[in-house]
Amino acid sequence: MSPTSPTDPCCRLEADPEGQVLHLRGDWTLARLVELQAGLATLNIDPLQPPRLDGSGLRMLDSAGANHLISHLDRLGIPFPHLRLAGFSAQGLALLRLVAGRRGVAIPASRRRGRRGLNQVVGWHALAIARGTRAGLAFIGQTGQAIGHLLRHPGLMRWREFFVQLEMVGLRAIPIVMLMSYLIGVVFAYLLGIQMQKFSANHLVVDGVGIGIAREMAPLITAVLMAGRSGAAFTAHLGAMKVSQEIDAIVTLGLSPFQVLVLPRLFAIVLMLPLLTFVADVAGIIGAAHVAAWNLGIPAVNFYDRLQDVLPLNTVLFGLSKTPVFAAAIALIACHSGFTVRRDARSVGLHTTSTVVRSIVAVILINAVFAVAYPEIGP
Amino acid sequence: MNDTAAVIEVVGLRTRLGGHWIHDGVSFALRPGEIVALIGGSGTGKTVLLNQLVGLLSPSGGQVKLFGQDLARLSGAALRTLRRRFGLLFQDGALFSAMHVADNVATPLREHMPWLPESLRDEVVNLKLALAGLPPNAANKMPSELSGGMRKRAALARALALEPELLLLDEPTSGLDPISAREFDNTLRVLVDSLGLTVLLTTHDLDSLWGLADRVIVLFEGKVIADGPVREVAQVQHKWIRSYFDTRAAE
Repeated sequence: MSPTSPTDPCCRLEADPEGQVLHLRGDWTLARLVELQAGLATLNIDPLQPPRLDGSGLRMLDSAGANHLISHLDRLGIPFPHLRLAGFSAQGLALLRLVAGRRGVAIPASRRRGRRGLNQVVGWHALAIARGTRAGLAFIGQTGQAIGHLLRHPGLMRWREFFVQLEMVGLRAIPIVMLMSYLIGVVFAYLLGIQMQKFSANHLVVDGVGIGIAREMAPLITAVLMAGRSGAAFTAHLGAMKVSQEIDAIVTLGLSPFQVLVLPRLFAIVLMLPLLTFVADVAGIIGAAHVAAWNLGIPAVNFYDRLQDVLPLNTVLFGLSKTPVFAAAIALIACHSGFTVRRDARSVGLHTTSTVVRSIVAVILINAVFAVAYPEIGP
Repeated sequence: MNDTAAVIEVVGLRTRLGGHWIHDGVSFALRPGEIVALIGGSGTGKTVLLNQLVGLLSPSGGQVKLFGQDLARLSGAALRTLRRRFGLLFQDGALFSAMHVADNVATPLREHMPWLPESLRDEVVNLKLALAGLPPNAANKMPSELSGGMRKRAALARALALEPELLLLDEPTSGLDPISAREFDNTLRVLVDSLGLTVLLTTHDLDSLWGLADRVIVLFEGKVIADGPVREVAQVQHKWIRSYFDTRAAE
């Protein structure tokens, strides 16, 4: 690492009657490349009188060392064929010839991709967004076409895959959905209770919790959870299939990847999200009832009694009716994202991340549209 | 044969995978400077054996020694140092898909020799790419943009990056056209002769076998059924070896 110590120089230039002789000594290896560079730089080699090379003092020579020597002399204007070599072992000579022969092709110095300017970056992203939107719309269209085809040929339905997805998307998500929703119910009731106690209106907690959970909390939390859980799984699964060309294989076998992969996932999540949301409704209200009983002095019986009076069925149905739309958005975003994975591992990660972000944003946007469009649902 | 000088020494190796004994007492040794080919039908555990040699898999029984050190007894740090001394070429290249080819080759240098200035590192990378027979314009490409043969060469360049003493090659010439395959063999030969490399390769390529290998080890049903120079092994009377070498004679 340090420049060569004077006691052990890697190379030495000596003058003799026939001209200059470059003596090479010690290890000319990858590990000592820095010292070799420094050593060679101190020499004053005259390109018009190419020195002879004396390799008798070499202990080890590897391809990196040989290459560095040849490159250095080449940069000075002494090409390899003009060199006179002496004292090298047969191995060393063979290596020098191999390296000199192969490195003949000059690799352009600036072979890294250049940076883009601001305009290019903006334009590139705008194009990417436009292309992405177009591809997304095309994907929705293709899915619609596939559904139409399936309606005319019901035999094409992949029941096995559908039931596998029902289990993965629905059944296995029940514990986490219940836990999350229960805890949200607990926190919601607790915080609302603190406010209501100021007005000695403890029983109003039931009204707030009932409407809040059934209309907004449970559908949103469940959909966000599904976007993270199933959406990511869809993209990663389809993306890995794309990387290993399994999707190409499906097409080559004369099958439609939409029928085989997209529709079972779409149907499974559209069917399961409302059911999971209902589970979340129940769990959230149980959580709220527990807090009401422990903290606010409302016995469970009174809680459920009042809930029946203040929570209209319409509100619950409104909450549930949003969820198939959320589910369809999640499935379409996730499957499309999976199909557009490029053939490398990093792309799978990027697309999975983008699925989660985009489907959560989509869920929240759709929820806002519902809230604006139907403000008067409920009591 | 001097045992301490062996680069690779495998003694009584046994492997159980999926309920079958893939290897049932495999023993062989490699001396420095040899090119040894490991052949055997598909599923005879050639790739598994290579993975065990580099410590990616541990065998169910037996001993694997690399440069005289028993792999099973090495600490993590010692294994890391040992890994600098050999290069492995995976069957399908196993290039890092998120990096350019040049970055792929630079990665081992960057990790193991961080003090090497970038200009020198680039010089080494260019050399390795050229040695592996890649055209200059391949350096900026992503692995997914390369053909199978090019990927293999890029992977060889990466395996050569740290000037290893031992090269393990898993089917290096499969997927290459015959011309490139012979070129690959020649490069390997010169590298072996000039750098004192030791090479263990698995192959199905009879031309590599005849033209390149000093010695052939034949795996069959979990055992080494032949071990010697190609000329001798080709004469062995065994049904698998006969049919293997006769496919060539029939051409």
